[in-house]
Amino acid sequence: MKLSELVFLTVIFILLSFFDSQVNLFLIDFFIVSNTTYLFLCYLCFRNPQKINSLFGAYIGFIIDLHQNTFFGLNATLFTLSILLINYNYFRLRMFSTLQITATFSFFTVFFVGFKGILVSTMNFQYLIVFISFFSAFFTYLFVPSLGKFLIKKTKL
Amino acid sequence: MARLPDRSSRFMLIATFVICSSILFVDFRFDAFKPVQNFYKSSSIFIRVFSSEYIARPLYRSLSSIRDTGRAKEENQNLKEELNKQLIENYIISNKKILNRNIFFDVTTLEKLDLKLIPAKVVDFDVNQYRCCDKHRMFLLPEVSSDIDSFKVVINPEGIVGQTIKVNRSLFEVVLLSDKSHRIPIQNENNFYCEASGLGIPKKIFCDVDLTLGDKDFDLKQKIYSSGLGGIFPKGIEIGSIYEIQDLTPKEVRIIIDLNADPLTSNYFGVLL
Repeated sequence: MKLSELVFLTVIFILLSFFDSQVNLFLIDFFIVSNTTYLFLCYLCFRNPQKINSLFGAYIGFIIDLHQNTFFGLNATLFTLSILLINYNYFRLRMFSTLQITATFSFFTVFFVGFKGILVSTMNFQYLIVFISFFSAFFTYLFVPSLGKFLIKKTKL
Repeated sequence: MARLPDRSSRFMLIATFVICSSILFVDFRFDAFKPVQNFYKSSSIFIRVFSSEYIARPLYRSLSSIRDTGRAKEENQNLKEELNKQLIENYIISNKKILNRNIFFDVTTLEKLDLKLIPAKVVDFDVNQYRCCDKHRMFLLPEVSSDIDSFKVVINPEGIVGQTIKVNRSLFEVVLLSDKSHRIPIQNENNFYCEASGLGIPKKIFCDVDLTLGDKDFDLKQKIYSSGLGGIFPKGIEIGSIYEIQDLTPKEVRIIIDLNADPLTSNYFGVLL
């Protein structure tokens, strides 16, 4: 990956993380969590697993950890785990339809939200948020490919 | 074994995951990367404050000089800030007797005790994290150049908000009372003492009470005060009222206290020195 592409993607991920935190301010009352950043990473990794590798996932994860002031390594671990899973099941996922891919990544998001919830909201962990995040991720991922194509059409990712 | 896409290295995938999870464990268990996070946070705050003070604000001022409405808005903002400062001072004045009565401060200088207040402005407060998660922190910048140490009480016009943690010379972090890792010794009017912990929910703290240790007298909406034990918080300051009493076991109850002070009400806070 070129340096310019790395910088470009870093800025995009920071902006998406900012967007998520702003949207979550309003959605948290309805037990919904926005995970556009995570879904965008899943989309990019599935689209180009050679360039979006585990090192890139770890790098973006650490940046987001610093940006969100959560435990250092939380997002990095979950991002690398997701990239690992996508890589290991790449050829299986390639055979899936768009709907099946959306459902799979929504399940990944459920795990992501659940694991994050256990660590950052130990005393107020709510299953309802985890449950609803499946549906919110499902609907969000319907727009993520269009967003991804729009954002990275100038790069060769 | 699953086939990987071309040029993907199985070793690199697993090794990166193991390293990241080890880093997460070390940070979670020992808070080892706190200096890195503090450095990032203070740098980003510095850049934000610098760009706002020396780039955005002068630009805005030059534009607002054209439009009178902009000037009026700024004046309104200044008045609001002054009002906030005044409200904090009023809070201090109205509670000064109680604050001076605190026997856990230096008893020999009890009468001479002159409470110093440093006004501070919020520079970073992740409201999203405050509402969703257990970590309730904010970063304040003192209005006057003063070295603010850790474990100083932070107040707003509604009461005690939390205590300070020093980050560097010009910046400090505030652990709010509702933060999961925060503890505050409390009491009620019936001499019931307890160490309340943050619940991780905005404006809520809790206290687990063992009923086998004797009769405890508390009701809903009963006022709760700081007990002054521990030597950080002044004694006798009203911090909230009992919101809920939950039965954990037949011999143990959890009291949930609704705090008076909401950190979202103003941008200005006072630090008691």
